[in-house]
Amino acid sequence: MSLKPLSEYTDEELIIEFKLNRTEAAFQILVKRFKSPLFNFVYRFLGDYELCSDVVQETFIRVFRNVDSYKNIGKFSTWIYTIASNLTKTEYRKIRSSKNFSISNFGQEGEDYEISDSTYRPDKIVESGQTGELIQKALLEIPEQYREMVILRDIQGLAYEEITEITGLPIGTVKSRINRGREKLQKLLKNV
Amino acid sequence: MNTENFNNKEEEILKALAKLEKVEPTEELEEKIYNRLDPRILLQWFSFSKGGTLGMALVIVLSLVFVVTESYQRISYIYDYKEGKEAVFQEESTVIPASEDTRSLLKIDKISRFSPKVKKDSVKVKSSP
Repeated sequence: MSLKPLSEYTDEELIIEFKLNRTEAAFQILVKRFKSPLFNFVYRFLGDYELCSDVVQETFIRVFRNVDSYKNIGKFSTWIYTIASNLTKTEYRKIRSSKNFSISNFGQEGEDYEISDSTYRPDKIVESGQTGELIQKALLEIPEQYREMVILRDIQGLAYEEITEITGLPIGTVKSRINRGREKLQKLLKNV
Repeated sequence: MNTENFNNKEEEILKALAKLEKVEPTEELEEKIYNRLDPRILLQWFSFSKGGTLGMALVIVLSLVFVVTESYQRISYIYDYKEGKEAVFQEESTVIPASEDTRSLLKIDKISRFSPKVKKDSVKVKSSP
């Protein structure tokens, strides 16, 4: 490997360095690079700061523990996003089942119908003058399969190809879910 | 940030999504990760690293040495006992003799530590019919 400092390594070089030589500094740099993007992704999905912190911690611990399963064929970012995404969805389902936040009922197109959370009051949110909060509430209202796509594409700014790798879905499905997610978001925000 | 008009305008929503404020994790997040990883680092060190392999080998060798020496000592004790050298153990043991007062108090003349006497009368042997 080249003699450049670790901080100049690419993500893939760092994870390989950590995998082969157990260089703890390489892992620490990866934590520094990815903690904020992952935190944003998980927070936008769950909408709970504390829970989000737990999921992000667990993601890095999984990376550390399963570094040997990383194969240097894909981007490190897609690998870590896949881990975070799986953990987030598991956590979200736990909350949903424990709080009875919504009921799932498969319709003709296999989509989830969710009962609106009573805390979602666009009029009240508008009064507070916080667009961010308004969008966050609306995001939490749309079904998880669309929410994930919208967050990855429109908030995190990932490419379609990266999203297909993260989710393991065909590109056509990814694109249609993004569009449907946007439509749902637009409907929710229309009356504002 | 002020509210914007989202009426049927996808572009505006997309812009708003892109402009969403970044939610930053607390400073303690990294610390928590490393704290949770500490014992794992040790395990990993023992399991995978080169130094870990040497360390593990050293632990195994020391354990073997301990087991071998301990077994040898036990075997030699048994051997000595069979050879009639058990008295050596009695000499080495530090039995503090009871004082005269204690003896009189307990009404005993001898301290028979290793061979308690059993009265022959107290042992009844059942004879088979």
